[in-house]
Amino acid sequence: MKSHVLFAKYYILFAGTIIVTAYLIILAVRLNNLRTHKRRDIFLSRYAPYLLYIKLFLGHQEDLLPPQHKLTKQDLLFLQQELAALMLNMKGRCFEQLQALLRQLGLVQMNQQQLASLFPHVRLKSAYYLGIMRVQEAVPQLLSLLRQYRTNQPMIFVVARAAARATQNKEQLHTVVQHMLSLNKKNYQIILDIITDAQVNYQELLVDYLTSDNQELVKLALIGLWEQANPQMLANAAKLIGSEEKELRIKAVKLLFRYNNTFIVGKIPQLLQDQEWEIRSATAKAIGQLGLRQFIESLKVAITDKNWWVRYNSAKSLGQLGEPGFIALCQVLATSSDPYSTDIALDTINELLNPPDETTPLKQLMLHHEYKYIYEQLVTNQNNNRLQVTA
Amino acid sequence: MREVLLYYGVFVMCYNVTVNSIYFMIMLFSFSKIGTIARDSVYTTYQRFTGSTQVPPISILVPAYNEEVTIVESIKSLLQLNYPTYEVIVINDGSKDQTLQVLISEFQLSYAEYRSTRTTLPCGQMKGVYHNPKYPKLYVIDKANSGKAGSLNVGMNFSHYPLVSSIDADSLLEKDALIRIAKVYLENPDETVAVGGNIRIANGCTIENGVVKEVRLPRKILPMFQAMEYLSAFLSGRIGWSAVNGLIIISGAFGVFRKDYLFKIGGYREGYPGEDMNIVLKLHKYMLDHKLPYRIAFCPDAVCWTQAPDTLRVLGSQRRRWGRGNVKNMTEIGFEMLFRPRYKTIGLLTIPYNIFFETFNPYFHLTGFLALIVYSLLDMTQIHVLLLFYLITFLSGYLLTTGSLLLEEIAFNRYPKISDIFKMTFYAVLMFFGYRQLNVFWRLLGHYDYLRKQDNWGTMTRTNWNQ
Repeated sequence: MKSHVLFAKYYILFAGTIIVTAYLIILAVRLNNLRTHKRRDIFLSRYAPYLLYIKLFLGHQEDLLPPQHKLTKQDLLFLQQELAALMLNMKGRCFEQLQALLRQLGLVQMNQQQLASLFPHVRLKSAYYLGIMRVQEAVPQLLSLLRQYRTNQPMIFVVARAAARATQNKEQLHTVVQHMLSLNKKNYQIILDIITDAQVNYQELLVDYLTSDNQELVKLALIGLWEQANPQMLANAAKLIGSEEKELRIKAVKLLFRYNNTFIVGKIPQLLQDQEWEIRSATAKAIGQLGLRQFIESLKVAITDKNWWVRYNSAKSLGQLGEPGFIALCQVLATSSDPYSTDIALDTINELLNPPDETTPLKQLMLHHEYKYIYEQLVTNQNNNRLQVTA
Repeated sequence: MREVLLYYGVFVMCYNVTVNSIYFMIMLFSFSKIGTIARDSVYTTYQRFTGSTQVPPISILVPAYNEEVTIVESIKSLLQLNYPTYEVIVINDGSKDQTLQVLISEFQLSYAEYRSTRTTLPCGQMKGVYHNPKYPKLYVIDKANSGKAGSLNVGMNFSHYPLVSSIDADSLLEKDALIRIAKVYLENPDETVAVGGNIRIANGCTIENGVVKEVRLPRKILPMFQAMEYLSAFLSGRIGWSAVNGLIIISGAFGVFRKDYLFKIGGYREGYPGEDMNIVLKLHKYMLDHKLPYRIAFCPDAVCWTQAPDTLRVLGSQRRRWGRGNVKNMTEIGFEMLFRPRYKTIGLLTIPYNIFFETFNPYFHLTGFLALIVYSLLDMTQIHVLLLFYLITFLSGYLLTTGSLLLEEIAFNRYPKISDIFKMTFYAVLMFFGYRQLNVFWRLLGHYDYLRKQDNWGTMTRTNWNQ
């Protein structure tokens, strides 16, 4: 019994010590944060004229001068934070001036040295700043640090972005992409976001990827070209429509429709019959977005598709095709025996017949009245006739 | 008799040691992750994603039942999020108050019948959809009352985007909460099937136009206790559980899911509370049954502010509902996965932990307390031993609270005043004297409700955000 009580007392002592220690740490962290904030406020007020000078002389031909007084280590770090925040959104001469200033202040060297630190958080911090500063000579170190991350942990994205920002050529940027893809997490969007942050023309890389044997690189290219693509790139993408890989076909079709590619427009009748619903749906959607009225009859068939998305996008597209599209919707509503297609046609018609208010522009108001008239002619009258026949 | 009591005492001691060991282990997992979380929030530039076309669009589902007091403010907050493409779908679940009318009037919505909505998931009949092209992101669905799960299923059937987020109508999302969650999703989009957000208590905060302007701790005692509870549950608990892919609950107040998988598992289960745990359990089961690589993640810096009940009646009703939802989920899915190696962390750790140390916990509390009385009556113990026992129990619990405070301080630091630390410390101690015991009592009542097949939602009242 006594030993149990003694054990209990030891446990209480142990738990109590941990709690007290934890509280001491909490207070220390809090006080440290408050002190840092205070020091930062002092720094900002003391160096306000200097920071104003930097902002005023950004973009000028002459180099930026360092502060007149020698900075303390802490103030130097505050200045790094301020300049880094500016650099994030700077290009050209402004960026060069800030980069030169940071070099002159010894911050580039300091961060490069810290990249070899034993502590991971120090390495990460210096990688982050070297990336923001786009320090060319740090690329080998940054790439080597990147290779140390073998799992998909959040910090890998910080290091990858830093390396991508600092890269000076396609090969280095490709190394970043390859390492990220080697983790096999299909995070193409985040990889693209990282490489668009590089100075190197990433588009050239994507063009190479489009014709690569590595399907992961091709997928990355198809997503990446979403923002900007030229006819040659689209011609390469068009070759992927016949690919056996479903995902590649879907991405290629969507990309080509985005750029209103003539090749893909010619393929619309076949694509609306494709076995993959994603392709049928993307095609139906594109017809409306591109205003391709010649495919209204095809949409009237697609609105009866077995897949909800294909029906939905077909109806939406008919709604976008102006008067002929609206007539087609009314015809579907009046004549189709398929409840799914009539329901979706009716919902789209209701949206288009939404009552106008005082802010509706005149052109839209006229279209609204026209739609109402068409609806009455094609649907209301037909229903009345039907009722009379039934009676 | 004495021998039985003695063995029982030993058993309860072992039980306590085990439960506390698991708590500490989970807390250590949280500590192992906290540095990464803190650094990620410093070095990741989320702003880049807000204008990106690469970010997946999200449908935000907001089930609303009698929410006339808070709904407009909540929806205004949702319409101001920093996120490239999203829609807000409010599902009025047959409210008896003016929820629908205040929305129609505030956003000048007009009615459409909408017959073509998908019927993939089971749900009640929609009465119609309200929309105004001036607010293209907002849709309000009106339907007959069928509960929160049914409302979420209706919302999913209607939604247009590949990710869905469920958000309570009495909650306010921080502007960049969705983009932070999306970033977690984009890190591993193929395997991430759900991401939970962090819930914090809004009572006491200053709120303007649906945005939390100044963070303060609650002024009233009950919301303050809940603020401490949430801090422990989300920081010590969910960060740790997510580190081992063992998270079995994503709060109904804020979570993001992949819609294709929600369709595959049949959506939310209707007719019973605890649908937030149920959906996550079903996701785990589906993914593990089909041997698919997956993760259910937690994003602690994606914050949703919620109103905590400030009366015993409403709080008791909420806790009874949680208690009965937990038993239902464990009997429905939990036992099926219990101790089965194919269900990995879930079957071997989370479910056993939940059944033995969460569901049965109130019974051990109660019987342990009764045993102590009997020990005293039979002269089997002495007062100083009892005090020692209580002190150990208190310190073990308090150690976890302290751990949560430390995690908060290291990575988030949302309550910036020094006095906040002392206030939190004071209430964290006070919780052990009455509040925790009340929770045990409410959970027992929840189990009783389950046996009675009581399945209503219980009392829930709202107050204006600025009160």
